[in-house]
Amino acid sequence: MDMAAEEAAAAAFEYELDLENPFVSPADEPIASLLDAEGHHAPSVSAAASAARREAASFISKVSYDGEVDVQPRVSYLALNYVDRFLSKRQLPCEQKSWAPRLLAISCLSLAAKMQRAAAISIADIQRGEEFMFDEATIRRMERTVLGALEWRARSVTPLAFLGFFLSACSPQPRHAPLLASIKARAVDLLLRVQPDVKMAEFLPSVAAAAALLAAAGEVAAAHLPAFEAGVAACPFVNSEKLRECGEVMAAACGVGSGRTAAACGVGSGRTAAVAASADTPVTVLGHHRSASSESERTTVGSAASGGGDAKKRCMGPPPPWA
Amino acid sequence: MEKYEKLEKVGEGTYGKVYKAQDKATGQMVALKKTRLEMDEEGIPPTALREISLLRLLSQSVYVVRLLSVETSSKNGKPILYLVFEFIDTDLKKFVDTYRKGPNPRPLPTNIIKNLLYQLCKGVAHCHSHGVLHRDLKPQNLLIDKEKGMLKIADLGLGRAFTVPMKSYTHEIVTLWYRAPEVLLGSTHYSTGVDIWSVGCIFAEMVRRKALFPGDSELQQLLHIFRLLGTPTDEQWPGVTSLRDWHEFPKWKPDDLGRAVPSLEPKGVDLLSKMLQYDPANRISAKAAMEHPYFNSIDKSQF
Repeated sequence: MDMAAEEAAAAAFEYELDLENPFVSPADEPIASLLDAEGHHAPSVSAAASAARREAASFISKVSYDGEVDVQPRVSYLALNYVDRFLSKRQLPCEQKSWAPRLLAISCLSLAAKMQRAAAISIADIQRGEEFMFDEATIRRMERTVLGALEWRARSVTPLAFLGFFLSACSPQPRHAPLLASIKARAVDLLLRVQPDVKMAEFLPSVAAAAALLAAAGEVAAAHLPAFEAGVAACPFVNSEKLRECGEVMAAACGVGSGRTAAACGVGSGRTAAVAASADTPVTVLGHHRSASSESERTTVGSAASGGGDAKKRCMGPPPPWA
Repeated sequence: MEKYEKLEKVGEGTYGKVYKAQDKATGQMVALKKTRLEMDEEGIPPTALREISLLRLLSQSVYVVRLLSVETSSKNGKPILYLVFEFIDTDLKKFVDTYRKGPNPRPLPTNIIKNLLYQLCKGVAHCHSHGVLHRDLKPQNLLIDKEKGMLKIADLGLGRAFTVPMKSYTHEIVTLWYRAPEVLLGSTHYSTGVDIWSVGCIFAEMVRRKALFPGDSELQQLLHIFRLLGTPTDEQWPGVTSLRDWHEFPKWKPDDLGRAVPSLEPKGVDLLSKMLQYDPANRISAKAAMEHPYFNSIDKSQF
């Protein structure tokens, strides 16, 4: 075999973990490996870093949604995950400078594109319209800094990796493939939309996936919701308290959910209520995110109301394409 | 890189020089692998990034050589990447050699073979559970910690990230001895079975203290396999005669596998035959191999 053919063969048969479909691997218990790994990937962004996080998240959202640069949703999702993991490990260099979060966001987008085999992100295009542009060398240096902070664990275990598992483990019989596909699509959509909410960074990926799945099932196939709930409840690794909290964050940020959660947030039919709740400013909530998770309904309601401004924008737009 | 003191060059790996070095702060011995990665204006190449993160993920298993860290330093303004692995001083090839030659040649004790093979299956099962194939398992890639009696899989995945210029400047001959027949025959869809075949060959080699199929070309390699296991037919391996590199081969009848490994107990021969099934779909999985009765006599709780 000549060398070119050999290389082509190697590329064609590349066989490795697909983080969005890890369960197509020939393994018997891949869920165990994922659960094992997720502990290393759970970020926790301090209140001090939350301003930088918000700036970076909004830059990533901007380039993902304004359509000038082609950034796939799974790339922007992974990029923000890197931002979270970076900020939970290190202090952002020159944190006070307004350009620092942008440099972090661009580097994370570039790394995420490489990991996802997406087309390389053009450094020039992505910075179009900014006051000044970072040069190539600066961004590559920042990429290495980010990788150092992530300890080169760039295969983040994200909630997207768990969706397939929950769908196959928790869906009621007999399985209806088109229905499951639309539940999954909606769950992915919800995860993408809610990710910019800093509170999401507190939940384990498996918990976030389960919460998104339940919220999506509640919307798409309400009649089957009890079966999904029972299925998730049977997974011993999903902490039910955390699951509930996560569902509330999601309901607040995206105006979805069902039953008690929706009622607690004053959400009737999801989207309209989120719009109605958007009167408060989103800034107020950022200060007390850290203590919020276990605090009470008050915080939850507070974040529901104040998150509404962003939620309106995020939830009223067309769902991003999912490749 | 100031963190490490280079002690000696221990090898010219397939993807760069390897040094034994010491962590100045902790005294820990490490293997420093200098890569030939070019980091141009695109930064770290995507393949290398994916492979290194994969190694970080798989490093969680004690049966995989641990990638301790990744260091960058620069030379003439160009960044150079070093991979820092735990240092383990011997490999399975050298280990088997000590039983084959030297002052006191003797067979490997049965319980050592079982313990090493069990750990190998466990490491391979770990890789496969992450959807990763090794594709180049051989005794030189299996490091042995003699003190702890541990076996660890090395050089995982690096083939892909660092191969491109390899052939042009190393003259190392890639060994074919552990290569599965479907790969030799040019199959386009191979999977976890390729690693299991290699495990089978390595198992037999520990018992025999010499290679089971020592071919020196792809054709010779196939003939070695066919002479022992019989020339495969479409009945036992559906589709084999349609594979790209299939030719008309001499039609050998299968020999008795036990005769190739005369000192191996019947349960061991049974496990070996399950690893060396022609049809990859019939080959035992690493996980199932760990449950094979051959391992009933070892204390699995230590692993």
